[in-house]
Amino acid sequence: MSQYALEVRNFTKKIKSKTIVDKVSFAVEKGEIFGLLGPNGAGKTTIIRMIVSLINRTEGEVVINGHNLDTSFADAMSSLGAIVENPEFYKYMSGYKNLRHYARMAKNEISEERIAEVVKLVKLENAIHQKVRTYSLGMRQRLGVAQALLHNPAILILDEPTNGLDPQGIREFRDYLHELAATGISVLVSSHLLSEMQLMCHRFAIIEKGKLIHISSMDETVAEGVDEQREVAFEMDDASSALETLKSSAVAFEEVSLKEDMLTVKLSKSSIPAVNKLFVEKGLSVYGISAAKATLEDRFLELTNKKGEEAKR
Amino acid sequence: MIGLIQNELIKIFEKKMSWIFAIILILGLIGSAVLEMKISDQQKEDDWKVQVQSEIDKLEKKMEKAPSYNDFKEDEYPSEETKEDIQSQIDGFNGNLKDNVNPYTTSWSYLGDFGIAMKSLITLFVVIVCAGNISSEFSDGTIKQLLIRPHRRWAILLSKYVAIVIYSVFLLAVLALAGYLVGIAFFGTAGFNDNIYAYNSAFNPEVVSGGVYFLQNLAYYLPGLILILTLAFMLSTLFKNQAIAVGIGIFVLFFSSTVGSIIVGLSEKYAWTKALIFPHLDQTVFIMDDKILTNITMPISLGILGVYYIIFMFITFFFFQKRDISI
Repeated sequence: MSQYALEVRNFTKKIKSKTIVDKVSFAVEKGEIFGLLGPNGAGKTTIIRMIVSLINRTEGEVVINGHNLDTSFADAMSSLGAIVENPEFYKYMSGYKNLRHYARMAKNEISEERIAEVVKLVKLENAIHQKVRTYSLGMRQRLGVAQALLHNPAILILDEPTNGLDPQGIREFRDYLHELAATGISVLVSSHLLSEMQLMCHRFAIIEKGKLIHISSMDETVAEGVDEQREVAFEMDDASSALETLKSSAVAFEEVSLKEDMLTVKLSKSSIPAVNKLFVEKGLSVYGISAAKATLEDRFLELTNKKGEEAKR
Repeated sequence: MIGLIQNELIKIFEKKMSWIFAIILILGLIGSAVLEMKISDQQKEDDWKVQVQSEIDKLEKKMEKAPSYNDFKEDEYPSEETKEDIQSQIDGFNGNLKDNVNPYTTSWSYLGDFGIAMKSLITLFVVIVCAGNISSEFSDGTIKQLLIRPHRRWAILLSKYVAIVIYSVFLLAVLALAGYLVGIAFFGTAGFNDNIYAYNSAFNPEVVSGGVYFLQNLAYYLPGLILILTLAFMLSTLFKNQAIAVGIGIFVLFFSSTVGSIIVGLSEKYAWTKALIFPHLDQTVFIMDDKILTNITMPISLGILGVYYIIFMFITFFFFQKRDISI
């Protein structure tokens, strides 16, 4: 068996002469939640639709759980479960009948017990015999997960899964994905919501204008920024004399804003203790120091901007 | 494949509309039977021949007193029944006796007149169900969930097609069975081989077996129905739009006979117009006529339909296989 749940090799999609996806390759390990990040229109959805064979590839191949989609279509498709954009169902049928419908399409027979198990897993036992028309979006999302998991796939592919969910629903969904990943199922998830991806994914790739511009684990990406300048806010009673103190010291910094009781400056993380010591020695009372954590968003904007500037040159 | 067809059938029959169409057929049959009861002469005797004979006797007595057409002046129209009028009625009844055709409404003559007329409704309903079935998969977005399964696209599309064909056969069966039962309920049982008159394109009556004629009509109707269904299937797959498919489907259904009769005129001048689809959609003309458009026999006509069928199916499957699903 392959070590990867999903391998995407050299994906390219051209419509007429326009290149929408350009030579994108990545692999998702078993039990990993992998994020595809990028602004709207970057090509994330096209990549996902090429994996699940809704869109024809111009070039490239995809291997799902060791099965090449071109040579062993049925095995490859059996190894994935997906929700592409919104979870769509036949609204005039009950949730259970919808699941039976998809169960009949599976390669291997799916037992009643398995359906009951999946229904329980997504906590829809009470509503499963109601028509899907009556479901809330959150319930539909969960039914979507149920239909994707029915046939025990190796990888779950989710395209913008948190679209339209309320914060409570997003949180539940995220916890749920972590539970799934812990059982060994891989997840490929696309989103333009960066903070959401930061909490959800183990690793991610950034896609911009059809190209893969960055790929790494979440911790690495955030950590890379340790020695970069970041905003630090000092809460104190005499902010202006604090600024004077700082100016007369050797610390490299940049002034951001000065309020009566709050001094915000840009400096590196490593110099925060020295600055604090300086203030204390001068007899200035410091009530609080808050360093803005370098978020994925900053990194993302940084990465995409850098690329953008390179392109301009 | 069986599972796929089963799925598609479930989706058709889970919709109330599919059943409402069958109910409309049954109500139409009952309604036309009530109407027929009200307007036509009823058989009162157990044996219709006895009743016809007594009608003839009555008419003969009436004839003795009736004036002849010759009794009236040249430009004066007879105000009462003339000997000639009565004689033609007597001739009609005698013809019935000779041909062994019951002149009163029987279950078979009712089916021949009204039951068969309902078949256009079946095409209409099948076109609506077909177009709705395909386009709603696109407009509801469920097509995406359908195509990410371990089945090739052509298999999924074919299962839809087969399910819709099964639905149209179901409607035909409802028409045949409900028609038979309504006929018996309103007009009493009649033998399967009881004769009725049927008319060819020149309106010459011919004596045929009632049961056979009815079943022939349904069977000969099937090719045209399947073709219009396939056309609607193609249009709704290509355009993902129910309105276009239903509109064109209904246009072909109701105007094919009009366009067909225009082609009859044109075909003498331009032979290629005989290959247009319209005159061939109604195969039921071949029950009474051997040829249409002077030299087209049924096998040729079916052959022409077959070519259209293959073209429609090829276009449908070819484009569906290639299409990018990006809704």
